Amino acid sequence: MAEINVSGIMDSLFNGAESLSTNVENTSFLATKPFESFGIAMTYGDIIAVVVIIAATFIIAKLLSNIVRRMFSGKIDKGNLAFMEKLTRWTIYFFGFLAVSTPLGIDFSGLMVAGGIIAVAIGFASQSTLSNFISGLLLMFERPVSLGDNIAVKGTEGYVEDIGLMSTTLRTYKGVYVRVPNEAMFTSDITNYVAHIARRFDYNITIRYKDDAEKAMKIIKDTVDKHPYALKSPAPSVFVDNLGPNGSNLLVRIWAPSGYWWDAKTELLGKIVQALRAAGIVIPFDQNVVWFGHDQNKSLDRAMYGRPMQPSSSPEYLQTAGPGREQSAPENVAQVK
Amino acid sequence: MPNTKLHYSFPSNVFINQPEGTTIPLRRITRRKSTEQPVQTSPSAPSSASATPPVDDESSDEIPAFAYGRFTFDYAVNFAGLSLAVEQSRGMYHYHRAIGKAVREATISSSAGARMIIHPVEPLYVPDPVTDFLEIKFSEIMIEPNGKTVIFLTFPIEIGVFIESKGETDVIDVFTFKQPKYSMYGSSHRGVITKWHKSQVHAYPPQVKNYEEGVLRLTIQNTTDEWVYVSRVIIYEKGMFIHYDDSVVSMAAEMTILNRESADVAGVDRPLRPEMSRSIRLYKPRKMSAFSNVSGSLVDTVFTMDLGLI
Repeated sequence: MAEINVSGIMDSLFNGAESLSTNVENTSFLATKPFESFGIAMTYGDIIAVVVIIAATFIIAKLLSNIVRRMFSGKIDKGNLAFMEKLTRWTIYFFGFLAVSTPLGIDFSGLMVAGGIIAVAIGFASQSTLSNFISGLLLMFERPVSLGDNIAVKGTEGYVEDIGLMSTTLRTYKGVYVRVPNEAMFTSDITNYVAHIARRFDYNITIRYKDDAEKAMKIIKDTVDKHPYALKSPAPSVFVDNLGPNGSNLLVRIWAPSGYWWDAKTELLGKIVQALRAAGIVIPFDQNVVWFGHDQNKSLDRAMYGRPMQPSSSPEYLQTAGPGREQSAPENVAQVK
Repeated sequence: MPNTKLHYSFPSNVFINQPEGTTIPLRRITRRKSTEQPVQTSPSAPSSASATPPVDDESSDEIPAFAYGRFTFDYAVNFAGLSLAVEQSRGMYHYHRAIGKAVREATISSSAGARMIIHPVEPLYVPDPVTDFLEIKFSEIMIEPNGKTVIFLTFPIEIGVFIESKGETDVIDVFTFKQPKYSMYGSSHRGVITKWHKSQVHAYPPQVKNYEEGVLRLTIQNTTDEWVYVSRVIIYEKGMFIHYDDSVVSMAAEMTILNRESADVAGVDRPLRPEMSRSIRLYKPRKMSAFSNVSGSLVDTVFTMDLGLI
């Protein structure tokens, strides 16, 4: 073991710190430079300090990340929790690196001169990276989306799979992986379909003019009321929205829990159509009937139905003889003179 | 069993036009059952009419009662459209349940000694565990200033089938005879999705089919100095303590009106009658579902209805 020069230390106490450092460096074990012959000026003390600092950095990082996990577990999303753990760990690593730079002999003061230029260069180079990182932090605090949410951003729709430091990962409805940079997430319009607890969906249903609209609306209302996910409140609404070229257009508005609206939407329309059909209410095909004068219509009726129908000059013609699903008339009928 | 008279006391209130202290004699509608649930065996020939003997009250003879309790594992039920059976085949048990078009099948590996427990559970799990809140809508009633009243409502029944072996119990099925319906209390921005049920208001416990509806004893206390209108109550699952006996399933809650627009509602662990048995609960503490957005309105079993009482 190397000797510690006690007299040198005593001298230094009386002669000042400069003398102390000089004497200690020259004579103590900790001041011994084992790799000096290789051009490395580290002492044993520096090596021990580096080892201790690195070990302490990893231990502290581990401890703090565990504390963060325990503190926020169950309170925030798993993705955000993992992000916070990473952020904590890398922050400690950064401070550890700064601490270990002194015994390693890394002198940052030399960088001060060139630092400005380098910083500007790095700043330009890493502008988007830094922007993504900052955006990720802001997204974490603003939380417009959460893991599993059903969202649309920049024309992409899907489920949020991961919210990372730099990007957010989506899984589209077709199962495709899409990575969206956080900067784009932050600066774009995000549509979150499940942020609210309920949402509305609509149906447009057309019935023939000759069918009873009141009866049709009651049938639709009864069918909707039977579905568990069609919310009782806000109550569904069914009304005649407009009079279209092929029939009365009914608008059906239904509220459902946001996580189950798709189930309700896909199940209800078929049931409504079945119920209407069972009641003899027909959803007409698109139709386009053109006629020229009385005789032409009679001949047209005869050609189509085998007998003359209502007087063609009457607007009733379209209502009573207009082709519907059951009458299987051609979609576009034109008689050209 | 001889009929006995039970007396329920009602405080003065505007809905029940009775002076304070008046007692209303009520006919007992069921026979009582021991709190120690004996293991029952399956009926030798399950009939479609009832799985249990009819209750001994003349007024309830017409209402068939569903049998809740602990049974042997080969128990079978054929009751009011419900078919439930466990068959043993090649060392495995096969659970089959059908009610209407809804069918549930399960294969269970268990040694001899397993038991089947059929209990009414919190009515929040069929068709899906969407919400933690039950909303009961009833006709509007007026509560006088600083008044207190007790009303009886009905709530929908969901029936849980549990398997018990080696001291551990787990649910294998939940079904219902009632058509489920959901609603929303509040707005989509701030509110909760609720399991919805419409009830009449009763001054005394109504006779109900114990497999379709239970009886909720709701105490309403108006702490304000003004008349308050109430037409719905919302109960949080953690406050649902369901009790049952041979013919009635019950629950209790207390509603404290804070002002015209808000009230605290707390579930109470109190049976409708003495010697009722407590049901197994499905409730487990968990993170609030995505269908609730009412931060601050929920403290333990108390839910603050601050988005309106009618």
